[in-house]
Amino acid sequence: MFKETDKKFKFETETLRKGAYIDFPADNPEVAPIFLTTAFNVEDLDGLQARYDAKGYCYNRNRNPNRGALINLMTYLENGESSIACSSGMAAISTAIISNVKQGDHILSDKTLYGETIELIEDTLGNFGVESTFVDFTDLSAIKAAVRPNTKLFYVETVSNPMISVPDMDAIAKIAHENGSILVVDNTFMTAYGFKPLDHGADLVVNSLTKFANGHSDAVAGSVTGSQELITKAHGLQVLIGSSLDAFTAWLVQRGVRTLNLRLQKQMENALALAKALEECPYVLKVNYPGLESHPQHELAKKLFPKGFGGMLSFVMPDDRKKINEFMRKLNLAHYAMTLGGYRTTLSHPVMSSHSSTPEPIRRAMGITDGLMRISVGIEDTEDLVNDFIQALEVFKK
Amino acid sequence: MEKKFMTKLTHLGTEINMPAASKPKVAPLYMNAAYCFDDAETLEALGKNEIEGYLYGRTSNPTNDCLREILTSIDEGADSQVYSSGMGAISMAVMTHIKAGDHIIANKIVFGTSYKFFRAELRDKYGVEVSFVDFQNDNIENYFKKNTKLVYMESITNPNIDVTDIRKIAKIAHEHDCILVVDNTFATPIVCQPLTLGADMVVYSGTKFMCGHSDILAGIIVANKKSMIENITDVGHSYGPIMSPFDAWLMIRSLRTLEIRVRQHSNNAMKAAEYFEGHKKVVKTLYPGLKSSPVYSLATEIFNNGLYGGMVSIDLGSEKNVNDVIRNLKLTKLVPSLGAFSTTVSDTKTSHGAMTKEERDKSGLSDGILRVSVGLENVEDIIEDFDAALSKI
Repeated sequence: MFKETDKKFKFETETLRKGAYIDFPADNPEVAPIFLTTAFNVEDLDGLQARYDAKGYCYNRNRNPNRGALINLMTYLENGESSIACSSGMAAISTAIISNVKQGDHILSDKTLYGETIELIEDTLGNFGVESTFVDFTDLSAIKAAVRPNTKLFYVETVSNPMISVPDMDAIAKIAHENGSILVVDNTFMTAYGFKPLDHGADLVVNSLTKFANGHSDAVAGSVTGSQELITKAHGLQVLIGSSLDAFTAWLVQRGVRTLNLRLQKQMENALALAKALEECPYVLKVNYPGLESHPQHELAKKLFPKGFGGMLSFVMPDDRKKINEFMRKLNLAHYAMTLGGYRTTLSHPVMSSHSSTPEPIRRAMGITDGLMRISVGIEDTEDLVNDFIQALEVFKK
Repeated sequence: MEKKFMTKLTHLGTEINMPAASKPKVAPLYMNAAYCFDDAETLEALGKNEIEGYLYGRTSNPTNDCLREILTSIDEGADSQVYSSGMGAISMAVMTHIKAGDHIIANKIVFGTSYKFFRAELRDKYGVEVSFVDFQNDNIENYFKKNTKLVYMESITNPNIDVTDIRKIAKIAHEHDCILVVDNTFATPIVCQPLTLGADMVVYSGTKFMCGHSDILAGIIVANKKSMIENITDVGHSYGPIMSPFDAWLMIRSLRTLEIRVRQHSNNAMKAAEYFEGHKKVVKTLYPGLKSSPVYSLATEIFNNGLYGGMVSIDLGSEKNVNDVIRNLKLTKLVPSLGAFSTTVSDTKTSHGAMTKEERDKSGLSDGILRVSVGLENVEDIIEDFDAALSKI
């Protein structure tokens, strides 16, 4: 047995020593134990070398068994060669980008990204001399026109926030690769259940696991998946920045992913039903959902998303703040929340959140009006959910 | 310079003044053993139930109460209580309602440890009379005595997946002023709601489908009267098998997906049962959803949503065949538990090890039975795994 001795120590010493190692058979538990330990012990220098040679676990910031388990799961789900697991979605996004650009490089990105991703690319990386351009990624000619000789990285989201537009991933990957750039895709809204960007030419896929992947609104986590080469670079940076995912959260996210396909199926089914009902509602001006025939990329979405069109949609009400407040208060099921992808339906108001710093003429041109509301659809009973929205929208009846 | 830290270390960080405008999207985990009070009068008033509040970790906890709210609602009961294991719930539910000299009628086929609890604890130590009766084929009417107080059964029996008419048993029990307690572990409220069929109390090993992730132990009691839960809670304070708030928090998380999980478990189990029924090495397939099952029409009548649960048993004719199949299964593991996201199997000697061989024989539990807890995998993978293993016997 490891470190076993007949020697008896004093009370204070034994208090620290007893129960440190599990010496009875505890292998193959039905669920992985949580390794809440910062480090692992070895007996001597030969043991240390053996641990290194076997690529065993040493120090928590570099590797941890629960993080490793989640990494294996994400690598499988996203169909990559390897992954890293990070302490938040932003840690995943920043690590994926920063490990691939340096001063003087140029990033070409979709213009309707998650607000903090734009801040990272424009401000934080701008301060370090990285250039960036933001264009509409549903317009391939605009992308082509914006490419520069120093463009190193293309960045796009599978489904954009909040207009729920769908970029042509294969075509974008082709443009990126023709110019010697890599394509990084944020797949948070669709998850690997709905879409696998790596199968469509992306080089790295990032996920805020906080959202649909974990799905229970109780953990903050992120992941990056791609080729071994790119992930080795990302892991190297992660160890320096120190954004490793903790063991408990990794365990909890893995637990969440066990029901990923059941939850997403239900979320997609609910989203389509709700989108159709909203589109028929006389008080709703417009509904943005790729599953609707009225969506500008509906045909492309049918090709890319055979399992369903995701759990995110947005819709436009008249620009009447008083009525919108009344509507929100009248909803029984959907609440406003600064997150998405949970089991319960939640709302978000782009003008007051993700696009609060976008100048009004620009956001209006993007279709982001005061009446635009984004919905993250949950797994409630379909009928309950649809009925709740329809009864609350009655506040717009004159 | 000498600096003192211990007071700060022990007194700060106990109160978070959550702004009223913000509500956490998920109930916080109140991982605390005690509560504190401004004065003795408040505490006294609380103890006398004159004001509402939490008193002590063993008696009540906000996280556990969040869980109870869900459980009471989905079983359409009046109140519920939660315990540290299924046996914790079963023992508290039964012991609250009987005393020495009372008589219990239990189905002859129940979970092995429940059987042992009735026989070795209640009968042999506490002087409670227990009759184990074949609820399916015998007339339980004949077993009631003046001192009969409680009738106990499972909505879907372990391990032979049998279904008895809860409505009928409840009617007879009530005619004799007895209460009916139903263990609903195999079914969950998604498939069966015993309280709506006349039972007075429903008990669960929450460890199984209710949790569904094989990571906590849990026991649940839901009753159709608030007073029953009050009495059980009071008895529970003496025995102390309380549920940890951490486990309650994980259980709440599990219940968020209960319906979509149980629907998938049931759909997979139905396909697996149909496969087993057509296999020549399988002597008999026990699943109430099969049209050939003698309890198919009863189950269809009393179960919800056209679902029959995730548990299927197959009779392989001999203990040797059971062992051979277990050894040759690759995806499916032998696990002395059930109801989790992955498919698992168990033999009768494991699930009913608390019964002697003689007792098992008397109850008609064959050693050739392999109990399958059908998981959430793609059902084709499950069937392929069994197909390969069955071909080797």
